[in-house]
Amino acid sequence: MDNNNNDNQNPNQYQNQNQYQYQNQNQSQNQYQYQNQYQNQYPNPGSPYPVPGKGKATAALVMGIISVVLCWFGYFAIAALILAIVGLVLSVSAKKEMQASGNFMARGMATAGLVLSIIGVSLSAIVFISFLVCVSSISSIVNYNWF
Amino acid sequence: MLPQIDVFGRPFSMYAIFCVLGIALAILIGTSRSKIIGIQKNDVLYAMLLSVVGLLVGGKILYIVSVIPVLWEYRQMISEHPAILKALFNGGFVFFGAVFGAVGVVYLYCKKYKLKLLPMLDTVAPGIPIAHAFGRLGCLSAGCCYGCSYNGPLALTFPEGCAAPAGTALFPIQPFESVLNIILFIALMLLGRRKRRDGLLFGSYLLFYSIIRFVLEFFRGDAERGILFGFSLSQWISLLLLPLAVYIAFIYHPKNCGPSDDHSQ
Repeated sequence: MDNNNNDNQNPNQYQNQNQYQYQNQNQSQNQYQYQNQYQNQYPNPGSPYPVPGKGKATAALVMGIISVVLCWFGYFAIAALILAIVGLVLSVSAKKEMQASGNFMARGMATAGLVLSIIGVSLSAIVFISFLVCVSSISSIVNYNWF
Repeated sequence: MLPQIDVFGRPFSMYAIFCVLGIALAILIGTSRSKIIGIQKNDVLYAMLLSVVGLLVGGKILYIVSVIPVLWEYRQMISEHPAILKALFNGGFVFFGAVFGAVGVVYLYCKKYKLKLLPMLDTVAPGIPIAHAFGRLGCLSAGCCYGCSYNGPLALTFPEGCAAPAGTALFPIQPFESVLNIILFIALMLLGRRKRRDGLLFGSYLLFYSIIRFVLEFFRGDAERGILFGFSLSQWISLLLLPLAVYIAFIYHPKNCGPSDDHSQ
């Protein structure tokens, strides 16, 4: 009976030990993962490693702001349109870089750049095309204004 | 009809406002459809936003191509008055050029971020006719892309100050094309309620729009559309697109791409 009891107890002990080991292992793995995730998302201030997409996000934000301001000044709308398009490309590229690296430190700046660039493209297109009409206008220009 | 509106004493082109509204609506529709196709919403949003660049560039390039005969015809006058050239390039955009430009940018985006092109185009496809429908309403307000002389019911007469000839009864081509685009949009949305084989939606759009455009061009009255051997530039493009559209929609079937494939990265 004793042997049987021992036999019965031993597997339980092993099970408990195994469970404990697994728990410890899982905890340390989780801790490691969280640490990595934390480090990726919030690197130490003054870290020598560059934040992915931060430069592009900053440039996109600056271009978005300039385009929103410039688009109200007549033919400067052309420059605003070009700047807003460049801002759009840069902010999308920055967001994709962040997505690929898992580091979202400059996400706010990239989003602001994207939104301002979208506003810049829309407004400058509306203001710029105020001077334009669709394809058939060419006949009216040729017939009525110049010849 | 109403080329521009004044907001706080500043004129804004109704054509541009309609175009921006149409593109915004197309982007909303595209992103809302991303789940059905299985592409990440952000990817659809970014691809569609960037495709606006291609849309502007492509539309303008094809417009310039369409006015080359005019430039050649009036080359003497243009050389004496270079301001005419500026006025000519200040003209508008050609729709097919805009579509090619936008598709080109979507292709580059998919290639750079390793996404499949046809599922992305299928996601975007129903948005194209709705944006175009808004664009045609913009044409109606500016008076451009007008119809031929016509005295039947629903004929349009444009006032002075529009691009169309004032006081002449014209075929209502702009609202007509707008309505046809809305019908095409509804049909594509119904067809795209669930995941179909890759390319079916985009190919169907190209197929039906090419037919619509080819027929409607006969009712257009604006002269400068790059006429070549009796057909306009858009009709030639429609003819060339037809076999391509049939191939994309019904024949082309990429390997390892079942209905349940997830196309996101």
